[in-house]
Amino acid sequence: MKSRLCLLAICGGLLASTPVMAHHSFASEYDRDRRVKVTGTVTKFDLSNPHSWVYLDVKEADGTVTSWAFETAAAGGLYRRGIRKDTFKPGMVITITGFGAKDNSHTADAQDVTLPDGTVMTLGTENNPG
Amino acid sequence: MRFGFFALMAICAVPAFGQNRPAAPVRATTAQPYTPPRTADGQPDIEGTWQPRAGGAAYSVLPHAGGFFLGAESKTGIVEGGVLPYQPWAAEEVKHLTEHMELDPTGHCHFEGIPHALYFGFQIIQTSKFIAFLHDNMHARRLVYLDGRPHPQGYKAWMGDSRGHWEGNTLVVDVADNNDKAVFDMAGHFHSDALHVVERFTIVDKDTIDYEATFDDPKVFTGPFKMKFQMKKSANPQEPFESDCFGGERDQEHIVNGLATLKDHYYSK
Amino acid sequence: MIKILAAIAGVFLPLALVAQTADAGKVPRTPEGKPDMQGIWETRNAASFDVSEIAEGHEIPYLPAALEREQKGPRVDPIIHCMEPGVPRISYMPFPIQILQKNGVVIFMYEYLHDIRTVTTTSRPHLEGIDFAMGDSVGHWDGDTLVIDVVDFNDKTWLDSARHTHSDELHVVERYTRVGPNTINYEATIEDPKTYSRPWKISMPLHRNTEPDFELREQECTEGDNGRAIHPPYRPAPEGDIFEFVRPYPVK
Repeated sequence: MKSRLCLLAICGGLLASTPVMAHHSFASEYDRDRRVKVTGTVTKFDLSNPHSWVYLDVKEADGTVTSWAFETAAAGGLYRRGIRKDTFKPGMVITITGFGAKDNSHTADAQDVTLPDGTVMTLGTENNPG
Repeated sequence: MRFGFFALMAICAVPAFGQNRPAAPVRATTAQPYTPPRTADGQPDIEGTWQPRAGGAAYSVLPHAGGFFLGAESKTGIVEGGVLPYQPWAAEEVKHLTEHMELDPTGHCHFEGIPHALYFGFQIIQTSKFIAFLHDNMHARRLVYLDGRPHPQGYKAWMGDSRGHWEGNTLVVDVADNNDKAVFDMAGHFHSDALHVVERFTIVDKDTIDYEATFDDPKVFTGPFKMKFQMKKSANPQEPFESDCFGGERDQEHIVNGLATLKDHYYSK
Repeated sequence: MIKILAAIAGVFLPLALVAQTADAGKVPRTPEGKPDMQGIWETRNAASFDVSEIAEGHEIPYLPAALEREQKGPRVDPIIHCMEPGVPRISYMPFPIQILQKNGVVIFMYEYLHDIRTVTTTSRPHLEGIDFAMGDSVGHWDGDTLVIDVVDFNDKTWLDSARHTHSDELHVVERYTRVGPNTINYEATIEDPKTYSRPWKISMPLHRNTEPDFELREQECTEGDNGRAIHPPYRPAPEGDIFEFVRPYPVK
């Protein structure tokens, strides 16, 4: 299946991977100076279009729970990197870096994710301008 | 390990996009030694999956710095001369739109229009009656009819209406019936519904198209202008994925000032 | 001389007419040797309002639990929010469909929502671990019938505006057979173990649009058009919303 269709990032090489996305106004939604790094427990993962979303719950020092939403590349983009809808399972503890939203909601544009086994994957679009 | 490998590939891909790709072709356009193969009905064969080298034009068609949110740097942009000849009132409107990127219609899942739809990969399929451009983004498409039929009257479309013919190895496409809602990029470069575009897709070798388009919009600009960039054929075209946009759009609620401005901008027209 | 020509015409012209009006035994083929189904096609029924109109027996075999789930679920047709109509609904939306066959691929260009389905006919395995509103379509030729197998659906689409829903285990098999120069017979088998007690079938003709120079036009979903109230998916419609659909139960 994979060799026939070249669905994985490896097949096209670097030259073929022109970004496929223009939906967005990243600059008006996210703040590139507001870098965040959040470690939390996955509650939900939507492998969807136009962007996929990873939802984390973070237990704060005072015992309260903060819910974060991380926006990533589109479903096709993540799929070509080997991500599937069950890659981030509820209960999994992961760390995501990104750029926080300007409206101060707990929303961020995701860059990289570190999985429990230490693997790092790119979640962002290949080339932002989002 | 598999994921790590892919992460490495993805990370390696990023600097490639940070490079300054040439936004305009660096070659003369006189003698054409290359003869493309022909389709069964005698047209130059232009089919394939094409990847544009538009130098971050989706952010801005003019020269701009690169970086996160801004895409690849472009020292030249894709507009010939590096300047868009806006009328004074229109130049002020551009400034307003640059500060209100939430008004960018592609953020609302609308069609990108011409030439914006060409800044990202697309597929060309050729028949004797029309040439189909199929885009992943927004599952957009346009059919360029080759049989000489006129443009429809009283019609406006985000992607305009396209009619084409061949001049040697160049596909010439006349795009009329554009609406005033599609935009050239995210940096506020807009046009009116008087926009008329003549595109020239010239096959220069087996992997390369030189794209040059002339734009004419007397309501907004002081004169015609051109945009140019190259397109390269994909060696390993991938089957397109569904690219639904409206279905999962969740960003607009977070865009600062977004909703209030949207109401005024869209609903009051 | 003229008499001879007239005689020749008298023989060949009717033959030419017969060839145009009857497909029996002689389906025009693409250069790849497949039945040529290219052109612009239309549905002429009201299935987009209620798919049971084209269902075998005009009934949908719901599991009782599924019917209850549906009745407690969202009340506003997702296409009002510009969402994808899904499969098979895209095939009977009242907008023209243009079919292109080339390079081993069948491309369906829909006027509705400017949708595109690029269907490979070389029978690759389905994608795994991902859901789409329009599912993942894999085609192959079964004799002269194009068979498209669609899985990997999410549960967000309705089969019509009468709120016939499904789960993410929906599986649709579409069959397109050219039965005349201007007619394709369309059939689809629909199964979903979380929604229906058994597979069920729909069928309808697709009619060729024969208007000279007819073209698909742009159909873009514009939110907020004409002051129409739009409720983004993340905000549920309030009670009494004008787009809320209420269908009399029980279903039959």
